[in-house]
This record gives sequence, structure tokens and C-alpha cells, in this order.
Amino acid sequence: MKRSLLPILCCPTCKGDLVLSVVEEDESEILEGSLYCSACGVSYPITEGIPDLLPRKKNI
Amino acid sequence: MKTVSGDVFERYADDYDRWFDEHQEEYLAELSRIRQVLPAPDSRSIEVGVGSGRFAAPMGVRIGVEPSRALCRMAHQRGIGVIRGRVEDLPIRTLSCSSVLFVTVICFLDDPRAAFREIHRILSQEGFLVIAFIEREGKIHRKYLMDGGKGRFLSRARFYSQEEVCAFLSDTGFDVKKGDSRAGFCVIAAQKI
Repeated sequence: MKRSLLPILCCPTCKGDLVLSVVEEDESEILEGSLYCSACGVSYPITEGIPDLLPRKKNI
Repeated sequence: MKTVSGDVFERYADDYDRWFDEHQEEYLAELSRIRQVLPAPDSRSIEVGVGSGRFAAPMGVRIGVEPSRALCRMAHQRGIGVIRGRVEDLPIRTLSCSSVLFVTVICFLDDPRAAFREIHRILSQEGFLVIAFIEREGKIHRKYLMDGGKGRFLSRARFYSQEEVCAFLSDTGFDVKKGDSRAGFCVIAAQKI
């Protein structure tokens, strides 16, 4: 996921802001990490450069 | 998005993608017709239901949303900034996209109006939506119900007429600008009101 994508992303459920955490990044994109919605308490994974923003329930 | 048959797109992603190589003439004709009505893509153009990136990549649309993990990987390999997500709950900010491309997705949706409302939300003021779909009882619909290839996917789909899709668009805040219905494949350009 390129960093340039971040400004247009939001939580699929509440449409609120997401907080990015990067685990692995190369010169072109974020490969592993997460996008966290504090309002919903949900962490959406970024895997192999692809953010998974399918709606899901709160992390327990 | 591909909610009716999402598992099929996970399991048979390679077959889905191969169809475009094995049906070049049909694929290129569809591509050409969409290109004629799609405004020049910019950095805020997006394809919703991007699949394996077969339309977005050659059109220059750099962002896509797709629910199938397998198809997301293929689109990513084609250079698309792909986001795993579904059209009914788009993870895209309000008013953030200049144009939306929506190709052969409506037939897989449970609630097309919910999808169009979400697309309307993410489009900027006066932004464009280009939707392409296989028409009910049209040439392609009849053909693929009868044989293999795309039929594996389309046999589970729900088809609409041009008039029905125009009604969905009108109900959800779009003004239909152009409609091109030929050979069972319809392309409509609509603008956000």
C-alpha cells in the first residue's frame, strides 16, 4: 500500500480516521502493518501490501 | 460487490482472469467502449470491484477496491493500489474520488441501491460514475448461461435492464449523461448531482 493512498482511506463502518502502524515497508510501499479505528476498536491488517478493510467486529 | 458469489471468485480467480486472455476480442471491445465515456483518469479515480485489474490497469485507473483476496493480489501485481473492501461499506472518505469505474459488478450485488449510495458518497461534487454491465436477456447473458468459462460466475448473478439501472442511478442522486447498449453489454456514464 502506497502512503499516498492513506488520505482517502477511512473505517468502512464508522467512516472515521484510521491510524497507521508500519511493520515492514520498502522503497515503494507499506508491505505489512495495520490501520486502526479507535472509534470502533478495530485493527485492519495490511498484508503483502494490501490493506484489508472489509468490515469486521471489534478486536477482543 | 461480489457478495452473491464471493467464494467463487476466491476459488476460481485464475479462471476468471484467464477469460480475458481467451476472449481478447470481446474484452478489448468492452474496454474500448468504456474508454469512450470515462473521463481521463487522475490520481483520485477509482475502480470499485476492480477484480484482477483488467480494466483499471489499461485505463490508467490507479486505485481499486475488491472483496476477493485472490483478485486483490492479481490487481496489486498489475500495479493497482488495491484495497480489500466491499462496495456497500466503502473504506473511502466522503467526496474523495473524482471518478468511479464500476464494471460487471452490479449483477453480484444483493442491494444495488446501497452500492450506488456509497459510490455517490465518495464522489466529489459533479464527479462521474461509469457503470458497465451485462444486460438481462441480452446476447452475453443468454450465451454464458449456456456454456462454461464466464458462465461459472455469471450463472449465479442477477441481471438488470438498462432502464432498471438508470432508475437505480436516478433514485440515488445521479444524472444519466450517456447510455450505450450494444451486443448485450451496456455502458452508462452518470454524473453526481
